[in-house]
Amino acid sequence: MAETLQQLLCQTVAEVYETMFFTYLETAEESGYTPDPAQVVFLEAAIGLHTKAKTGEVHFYYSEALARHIATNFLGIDASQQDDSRMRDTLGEAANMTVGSLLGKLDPQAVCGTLTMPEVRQLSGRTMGDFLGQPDTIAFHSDFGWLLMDYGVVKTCSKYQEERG
Amino acid sequence: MAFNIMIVDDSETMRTVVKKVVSMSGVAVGEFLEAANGREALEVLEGAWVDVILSDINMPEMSGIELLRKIKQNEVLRHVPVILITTEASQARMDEAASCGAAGYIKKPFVPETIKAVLLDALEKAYAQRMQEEAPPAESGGVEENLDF
Repeated sequence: MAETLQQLLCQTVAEVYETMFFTYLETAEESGYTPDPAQVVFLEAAIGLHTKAKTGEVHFYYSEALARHIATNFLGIDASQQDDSRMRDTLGEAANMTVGSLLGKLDPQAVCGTLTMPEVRQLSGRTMGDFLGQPDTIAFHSDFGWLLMDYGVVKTCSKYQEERG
Repeated sequence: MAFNIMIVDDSETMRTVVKKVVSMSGVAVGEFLEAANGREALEVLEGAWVDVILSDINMPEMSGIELLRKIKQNEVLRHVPVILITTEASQARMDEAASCGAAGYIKKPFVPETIKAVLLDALEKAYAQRMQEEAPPAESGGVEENLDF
């Protein structure tokens, strides 16, 4: 059982991406790899979380190869059949599933917070280095590239704070 | 026996994925019908019969919970089982869905086996309920004999 929010978060990310997107993700520490700060961030998926303490967004930053791999797996199509619209839709669903699933575990009585519809944005000129090293950012490694997740707003979930201190 | 299955989700991608997962689950499908929200689903249901509805909860215009309430208030549609699919995996949300008459609740992420189990359970219960209300007690054959999945 997860002892910390970060452990619970890592378990949830791994479960969601493996079950729905057939993609194996592990943290940088677990994988033994280090993200390249110069790697370009292709897409950002963001989902709003309203808690009693704060309103903010959980952010997911994808490398291009990983974003395309996830969408291809989710839809069960060839890479040649993929289009940007469906890829964005897939990454929005991934954000929704990940944070929704996390909240369900953190807060079974649904008193902690509510989610908004996810948004997916193309980033221009941003690299992994712009986001690495932030206090509430976790880097996940896959064979297809990196996913960074900024989960800071989840920490304001009062239910979590009450129970875990 | 093949079933007409309606999928209600504002994401076309998610509707595609749910269709694929249902097809993979082994449930016999006659026809898939689709709607992007609860209001659109009710419009489709005016002209088509479905055996079961799989609906997202959070959708613009009309949510899955509101769709569920409207179906349960409708004399013609009230027997159609509605299964809610959502990421909102909280007990409170599941309790709300059950109190509104949901036939089942599927949490994302899901696997084909889960979809199949919940679908078959909902179809079997709906069939049994309809038989109980509309027909004299059957002398032979039970729900399991009549539902050939």
